[in-house]
Amino acid sequence: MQRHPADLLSLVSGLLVLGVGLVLLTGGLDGLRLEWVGPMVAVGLGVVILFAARPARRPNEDETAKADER
Amino acid sequence: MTSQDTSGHLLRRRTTDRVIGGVAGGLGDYFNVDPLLFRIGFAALIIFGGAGLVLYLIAWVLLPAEGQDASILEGILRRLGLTPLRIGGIVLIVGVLALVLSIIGGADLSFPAFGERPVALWAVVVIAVGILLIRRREVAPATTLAATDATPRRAPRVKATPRPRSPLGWYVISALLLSIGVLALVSQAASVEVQPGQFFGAALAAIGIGLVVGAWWGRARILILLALLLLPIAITASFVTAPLEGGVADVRFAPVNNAELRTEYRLIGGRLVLDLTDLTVSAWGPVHIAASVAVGQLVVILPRGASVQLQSHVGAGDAIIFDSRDTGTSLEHRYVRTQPYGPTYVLDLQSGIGEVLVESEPTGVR
Repeated sequence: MQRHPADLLSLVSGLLVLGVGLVLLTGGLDGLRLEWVGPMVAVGLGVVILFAARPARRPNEDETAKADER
Repeated sequence: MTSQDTSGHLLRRRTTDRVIGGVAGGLGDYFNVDPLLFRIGFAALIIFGGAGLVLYLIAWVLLPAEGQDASILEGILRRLGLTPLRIGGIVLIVGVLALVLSIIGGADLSFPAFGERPVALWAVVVIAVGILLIRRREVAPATTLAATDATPRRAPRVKATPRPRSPLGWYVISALLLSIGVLALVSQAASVEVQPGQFFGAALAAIGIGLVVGAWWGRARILILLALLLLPIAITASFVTAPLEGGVADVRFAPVNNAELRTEYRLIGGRLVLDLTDLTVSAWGPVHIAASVAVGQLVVILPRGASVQLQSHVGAGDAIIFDSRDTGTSLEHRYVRTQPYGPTYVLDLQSGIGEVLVESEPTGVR
C-alpha cells in the first residue's frame, strides 16, 4: 500500500468509529441514558458529512491560479 | 430532438413551478398527468399513517433535479466514494433479508401505514430501490449516448488512469473476523462472559483502526458504510446484558412442588412466564430463582402477599414491579416485602431489551 495525501474523511470517521467501538468493547455504554444516543449519533454523522461534503482540492489548483495571475 | 424533449422522458424533479421539492410536478410531467393528483396522493398518505412524507422524502433524495444527472443521494455517495452498483447491492441484500425474515420468521417491523405484512411491502420497496440503483448504473452509458445527439458535443473526457485496488478493506474485514473469533475463544477458554455489545465493539474498533490507517495508506472508504450499518445494531446489542441461553420461545412454567422448581429459567428471545402461585414448598425458607430473557418479556406471578426479595435489571425497556412502572435504559430495581409466614422468594430477574413484569396473583382467583 502506497502512502497518499491525508484523507480527512477516513481519519475523522475512523476516529469516531474507533471511539464508539472501544466504548462498547469496555462496556462503557452500561448506564448510558437512551436520550443521549440520538444526539450523539447525530453529532457523529454531522461531523462525517461535514468532511464528506468538503470540496475536494485538486493538486494542480494552486498552480493554475498562480499561472492565471501571471 | 431538442434537449427539452430528451429531459421530458426522464424522471426528474421540477425546479420551477413547484410547491415543495418538485417531486409531484416531476412525476406529473413524466406520466403526463396533472401533478395535483400526485400531491393529493402524497397528502392522503401523510394523513393516513405518515407514509406519504416518507415516500416524498425518499423521492426527493433519489430523483435528480431538472438539468442534472445525479440525485442528492448520489452526490453524497460519490463524495463518500460509493458507486451506485455497490449501494444497490447492499440495499438489495438488506431487502432480501427483510423479505426472508418477514416470510419465514414472521418478524414484525410494522409501520402503521401498511397492512398486516408491512415488512414484505417494505422489503419489496427496498429491493426495488436496489434494482433501480443497479439499473441506473447499467443504463447510464446508453443515456449519455442518446443525450449527445441532442446536446452540443462536449470535449471528450480524458480517462483517468484507474487506481490500483487497495487491499486495505480485505485486511480490515479479516482483522474484524479475527478479533471477534479471538474474543469468542477467550470467553470460552477463560469462562469470561462477553456481552453481544462487546463483540460489536471489537468489530467497530477494527473498522475504526482500518479507516485511520486508510487516511494515509491504502483506501477503504467503503468501511464507513459498513460502520454506519453496524452502529445501530451495535448500540442495540449493547443493551443485551442478560445471558444468551434457552432459545427463542413463548413458554410458561408453573411449578407446583420442589421437584418441578428450577433455580434458573433462561430464554434468549420471546416471552417467559413464571407462575409461582400454585407452588407448595416443603419447608419455609428462601426460594432462590434466577430468570432472564435476553430480548423479550419476563413475567413472574407471585402468590398474593408472599414474602419477596427481588432485584431486577432491564437493559432497555420497561420494568413493572407490582405497582411501580419504569421505562428507560439500565433500569435497576430492588424490592423487599416481608411477611411473618410462608417462604421468601429471592428473585434475580433480567431482561436485556424488553420488559420485566412482576405481579401478584390476581384477586379472586382462589
